[in-house]
Order: sequence, then structure tokens, then C-alpha cells
Amino acid sequence: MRQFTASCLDAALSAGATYADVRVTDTRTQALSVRNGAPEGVVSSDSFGFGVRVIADGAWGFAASSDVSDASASRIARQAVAIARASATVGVRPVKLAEVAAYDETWQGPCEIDPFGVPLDEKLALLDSADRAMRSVRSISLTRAEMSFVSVSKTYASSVGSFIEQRWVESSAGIVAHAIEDGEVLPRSYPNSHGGGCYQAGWESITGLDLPGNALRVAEEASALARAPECPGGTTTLVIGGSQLALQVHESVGHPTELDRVLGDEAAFAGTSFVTVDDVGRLKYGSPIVNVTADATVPGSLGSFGYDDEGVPATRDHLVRDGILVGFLGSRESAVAIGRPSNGCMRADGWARTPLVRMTTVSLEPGSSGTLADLIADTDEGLYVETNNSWSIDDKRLNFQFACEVGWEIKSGKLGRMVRRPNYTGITPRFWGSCDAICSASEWRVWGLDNCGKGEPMQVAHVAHGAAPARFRDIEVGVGR
Amino acid sequence: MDPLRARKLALGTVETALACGAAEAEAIVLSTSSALTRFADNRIHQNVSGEDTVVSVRAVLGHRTGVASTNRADASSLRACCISAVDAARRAPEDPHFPGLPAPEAVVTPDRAAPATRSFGPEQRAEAVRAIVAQSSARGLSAAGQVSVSDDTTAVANSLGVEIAMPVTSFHATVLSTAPASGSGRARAAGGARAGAPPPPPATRDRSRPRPSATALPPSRRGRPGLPRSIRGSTRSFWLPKRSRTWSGCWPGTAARRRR
Repeated sequence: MRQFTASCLDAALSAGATYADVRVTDTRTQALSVRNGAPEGVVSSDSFGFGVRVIADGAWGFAASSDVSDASASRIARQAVAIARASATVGVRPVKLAEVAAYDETWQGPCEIDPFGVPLDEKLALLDSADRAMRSVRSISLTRAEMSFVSVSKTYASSVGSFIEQRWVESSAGIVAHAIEDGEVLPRSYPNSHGGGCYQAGWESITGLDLPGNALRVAEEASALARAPECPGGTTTLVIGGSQLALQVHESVGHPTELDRVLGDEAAFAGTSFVTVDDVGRLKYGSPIVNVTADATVPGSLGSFGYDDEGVPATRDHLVRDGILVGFLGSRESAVAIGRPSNGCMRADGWARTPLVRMTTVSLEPGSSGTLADLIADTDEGLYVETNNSWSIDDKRLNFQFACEVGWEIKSGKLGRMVRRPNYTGITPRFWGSCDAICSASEWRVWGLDNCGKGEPMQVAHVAHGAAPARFRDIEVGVGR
Repeated sequence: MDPLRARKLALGTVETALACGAAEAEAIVLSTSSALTRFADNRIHQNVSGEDTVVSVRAVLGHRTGVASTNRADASSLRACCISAVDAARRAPEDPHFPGLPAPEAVVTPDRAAPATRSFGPEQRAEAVRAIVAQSSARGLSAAGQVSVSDDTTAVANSLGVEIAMPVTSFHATVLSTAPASGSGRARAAGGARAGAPPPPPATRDRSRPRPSATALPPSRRGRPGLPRSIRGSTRSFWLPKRSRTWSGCWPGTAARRRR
């Protein structure tokens, strides 16, 4: 592979590029599911190709092909240079890149048991076992158990002198039971909604979830939701569970601090941000206990890697410290705009795409409020919600509304009756400013999200967020009823 | 990939699937060549192209089906892909409603490709961007959007004798023009023209002179006159107050799973 990547770089530089990098990526996927007791599908795919990114005449160009051959290396590299030269003809501001050292390294993510080596029958049996347990609850109308696996092998080389090989495996699984009441579909999921739990790990992460052992509880909660009252509307104290808070961080801290959005590059599609470059060190993003980090070194997280797609080593960086905005998610190019080195957030979702600024593991750091039980006990009256059901947020990431699968009223420090379809709304800095308690590290978990869409052509990133349950005061809940 | 090669690849894959144990088989070859130029703040900030050929196999065992895909066209990779599809079919539940694979029918060989779109290279895309940006910058607005072209060939073959391929070219452009203080306008153009150049770039206007609706656009800006309605480019424009440009987070063109 060294020879192939060198051919690409040589061809690009010979054609006039002042900078070039190449990524060769081999991706294998498998997905399977069981629905209402029957295998729903087993789908597998693999994709292999390379992409060359260059700067020529001060502008970017990128070309990619699934034909990984010497002839193609030269052709695609020259094509990338021609594209860059065309880019330079419209309003070019010569690209400047933050410095990065040259690395010759390999990196591998954690994986004890290769999930692709586990027989299909064993996987389907596990899903069937969980699905059967959910269907034992009579009032459940629809059940689904699913798992999926991704294996990625990526080689990166650049004209800076780097040659980096990385490999990792991702495993995901989850179950969901649906109850239907008065035409309303009420899902209850484990360990998370929208596909379950996602990990940078092997088959061991799936067996560790104990899907069959949680299936009955999940189904019984879905059944209980069908009998539960609607979440009452009003302004109250809100305690948010870890997985929902992870999505809250994703939408209202992760996206607004992506520097390409801040600088306007995503204006026409994903949107911009209410945050500006000048807000660093000044914007009160949250209460003093709110600390948010971007960390690409968290073991087992979908947001972890050795090096990003610009050859920048994985780092841990603060976005919000003691409630104040202190940083962004950046690239080598965008970092120049804030006068900092890149904190390594550039990733592409495959060989055919150019890297974009992406979240790594963007986490709300744990607080000191003990366990979830301690936090509930410390709350006189309010609402506890968990597991996302839907989300909506404007294109500046300021005004949001989330709905969860389930909620429980809090009365005198204890969980009370279950409520269905709880939702809440807020304005980003005001919401985070109302955070007055965050559970301790013992409650902190990393939640993987494998469906973050951004960019044109569309790219789907796999990212993650660490969070522990937290409490927010004076939040509007039960809206739109 | 030209249609003949795509058909041969699809047919060869069907034969491989049958040799791997499928009772019946279908192969779909999707060969794509696409390019997209993105701009923001009146400049091109991303400019990409890519080419790929994906072979998708459906293996049939009675009323059971299994699917696998690969973008490697060598014999061993195609064989591994076919084995995966057959393996998946063996574990799939019986689908009593599966009607079987379609039998061949007489069809007109379709061709939805425009040579002018095929040759719409990076310089032409940059020229289109320049034309779009000029309208915004002349009005003191900031333009962001994209101009993209694609040249795809889809071939389908099955063990009952279906064997057909269709080339398609398409063109898309979008622009969001934003005023410094407030207000924005959005326009979009799309076309899958059979012949001639891609549709003209979308029009943008200052919000201080808004139009009541897209239908107020002159015909020259609504589409490509002279082409059948079904294949001419279409444009639409609409205006939104800046503060109301909220969205649900559901991305256009995505299927079951929402993008965050």
C-alpha cells in the first residue's frame, strides 16, 4: 500500500498540487434483524476504494475511485488537481493549513472477538431469544431485535510525510417493543433507541448487553406506557437520563461548535451556528458546572481513532469549561481561523468522500451529584425522562424540542407515576445555564450514535457522547399538547 | 461504465450466484460517476468527484431471498458476495407473497443520458457557480449551495432472462442567498435532460424585492423550454423569514433511519 499511496501523491504533486493526501479504505458491513419472531433480513456489503485530496492554486480538489490500481492512482490524482484549479477560479481565498507533524504509525481499535467470525445462526439465535421474550407480554404489538457490524481498514498518506494505517470494528445491537394504544405507537427500547447501543468493539460488546435478559422489562414498560397518562404540560424541574442527554449534547453543543458550521461552510445544507468565533472565552454556554469535552481517545467509543483524516493525532480538548465556551471542533484549515492548531476532527465516512469537521466523543463531563437515585432523592418535584424518541432543532442549533420514550413524575424525592410521550423544549444557552446538578462518574457512560448526517454529498458519521444523568431547572415540558 | 459492460457484469454475477447454490438469482449493477461543487460565502470551498461500481446480488431459494453487495468486480470477490447472498437466503423466513423474479418483457432500450451533462466538467461547474454567486454578490448577498452532475448506468439481469441496462445523467443546483442583517432566499434547479446542456443555474433575488411565488418566474427561468415536461429541468424558489428557517433534522433523501 505504501507504493500505491506514494504513486498517488507523486502524481498529484507532479500535476501541480502544493499539498496532497490519499486515503485507501476497505469497509465491510453486516446487518441482521428479527421482527415479530421472524428473521427480517441479513444484509452484507463491502466497499473498497481510495480518494485523493489536493490543494492546487490555493484551492481544494478531491477525486475518488473504486478502481485501486496504479493506472487509476495517477488518473485520479490528476483529476483532483484539475478540480482544485477549477475551484480556484471562483472567489478563492488561498487555503492555509495549521501545521501537523509527519507520522508513520499504525492504530487499532479494541476488539476481543471478531463479530464477522461469529456464525450467522448464533447471531440470529440471540436476536430471536430477545424477540421471543418481548413477545411474551401480550399487549405488545410489534417487536424488533437488530444488530450490525462494521469493519474498517484505512491507510492514509500525505505529502507532509505521514503514512498511517488504522483498523477498527464497530458493533451495534438493540431491541424495541411497541405497544399501540388508541392508534398511538409507543416504543420502548434497550439499550438505546434508533438502533440500540453502538460500540467500537467486537462481539463481546453485544453479548455484554444481555438483550434477552432485558427484553421482558422493556416489553413490560412499553405495555405500561399504553396505560400511562400523557405527560402534563408546564414548567418544572427536569432530570434527563444519560442516553437522551447524549443526544442533547450532540445537537446543542456538538453541532454548534463545529467550526465549518461556525464559519458558514454548511450554510446551504446542515446549517450554521448561533456561536461565533469571537464568542470564545466570553459566551456563557451553561452553568458553572457544565464542562464539555471533545475526546477522540476514549476507549471503545465510536468517536475514537488514532489519527483523523488529516493525519492529526487524536486529542482531548475542552469545548466548554466551567460554563464558558472555550473551543471548537476543527480541521487544519478552520483552525487557522481561530489561530490554533487543529484538534483533529476531520473525518470522511468512506473512501469516496472528502473529510468534514465531525464530532469525536463530545461529552458532558460527570459532576458530583452521586447516582441517579441520589439525584432523584435530591429533587423535590419534577420529571425524569429517558431514551430519545424524536428531535427537532433549528439550523443555528439554538431552539430545540426533544421527545422521549418514557417519563416518571418526581414527587418528594421519589419516582412517581409513569407518563407517556414526555417532551421538553428550550433555547440552548438558557437550557445549559439551568443545569444545577450532574451525576458522578459512576453514572457516566458513552453512547454511540451512528447516524449523524452532514455535508453534500451526504456523509453519515459515527460519533459518540459521554453523559451522566443531569438536572435542569424551570424547563418547559409537555409542549404542543 | 458503458451499458454493455454493465450488462455483462450483471449477467456474469447471476451465473456465479447460480453456481453458488441459488435456485434463481438477480444482479443489479450500479455504476456511478458524480461530481459536486460546493460554495459558501461566495467562494468554492469543496469540489469533489467520485466513481464507483456496486454489484448487488439477490439469491432466491423458493420463497426465501437474501441480498449482498460489493464494489469489487474481481471473480473471487463476486463469488464471496454471491455466497453471502445465498447464505442469507437460507436463513431468511419464507415470504409467501414473494412473486418470484420478473420474466423478460419487450422493452424499448432506455437512454436518459445527455452528452452535454457527461462533459460538464469542473470548469463548467465552476462557471455555473460563478454565475450563481454573481447574482448574489451584486446584491450584497452571500451565496451558499452546490452544483452537481452525475452519470450513472444501472444494469439488471436475472436467471429468467432479464438483461437490460440504462444510462442516466442528471444535474442539480441549489443556492441559499443570505443578507447580512436578515432575510434569505433559496432556489433549486434539477434536470435529467436527454440532450443539451444542464438547466440554467437557479435565480436568486434580494428579499427587499420578493416575488409572490415561483410561478411568477419567467418561463426561461422555470425550466428548459423545448424539452418534454417529464425530462426538462425544474426550478423552484421560495422565501422564508430568516428566523423561521427551522427544520426537523430529517434529511432529504434518507430512508428509514433519521440523520441527526
